[in-house]
Amino acid sequence: MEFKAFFKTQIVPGFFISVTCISFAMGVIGTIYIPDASFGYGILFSPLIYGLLGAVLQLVTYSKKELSVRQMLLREVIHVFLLEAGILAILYAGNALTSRKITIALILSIPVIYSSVAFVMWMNDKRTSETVNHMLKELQKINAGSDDHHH
Amino acid sequence: MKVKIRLITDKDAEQVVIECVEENQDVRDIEAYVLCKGTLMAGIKEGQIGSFRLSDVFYFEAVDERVFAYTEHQVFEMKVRLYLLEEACRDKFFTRCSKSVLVNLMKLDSISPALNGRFTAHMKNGEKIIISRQYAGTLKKAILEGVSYGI
Repeated sequence: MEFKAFFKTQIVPGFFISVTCISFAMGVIGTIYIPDASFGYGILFSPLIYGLLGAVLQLVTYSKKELSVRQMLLREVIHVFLLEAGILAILYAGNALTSRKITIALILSIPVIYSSVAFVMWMNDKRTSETVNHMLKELQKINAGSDDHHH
Repeated sequence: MKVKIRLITDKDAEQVVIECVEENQDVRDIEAYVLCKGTLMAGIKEGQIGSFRLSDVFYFEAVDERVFAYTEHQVFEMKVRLYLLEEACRDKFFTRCSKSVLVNLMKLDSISPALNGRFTAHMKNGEKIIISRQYAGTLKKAILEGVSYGI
């Protein structure tokens, strides 16, 4: 796939969906473990930063050549591991890993967010395929009709 | 190369004559293109030349600089480049679904979402072909144009 197409169809939508999911996950984890915490406006940039990290690391799944299912799955797994390492490194550097429970919750949230992003994008693709299938049936019906007319 | 077009009245006498000093690749490309515009095609199967109808082809695939035509039960090797087939067969409902595959929309049963933004084309003979993300839009556009033209 050309990089421009990969950027437009994978990276950009993935970024926006992941920012939404990260915001939600931060809200849930924060509400459960540190409900009385107060933050400055700077915290609003966190989902964007993590989303951007995810988008950059997604480059590991890019290939100009067509990849097999196994190759694609392997790259997705590598992407998840890199995300775990990257996000946890940022949180550790920012002294955000204040307890074991929070650390475990954050570690578990990353694959959950990743799966949610993949699911949303898959649902979007499913809608696209349903539209295409409907149009395809119409096209084949029209063509079958015109073939009968010619015969 | 000079081009001359002479209008005639007899449909059965329509033909293309190529006058050349040497039968080089350009001449063979032109020959292959003209042949593709018809509905009966020739290819090599098990070392022998055989003919088949374009409408029976499920898809063309380019592998290692060779092009193969797949009908329901047979495979023919063709001495023509994929991009020429694409141009010649566009009005016969063939469209690119990946860098190396040209699919017959009339033999396509449905599409479904696959991993990482790709789609799977389910052919009417049960075969599955990968639709690259960058060609999903092309396929959708080809179907839409076909429906619009038919209406």
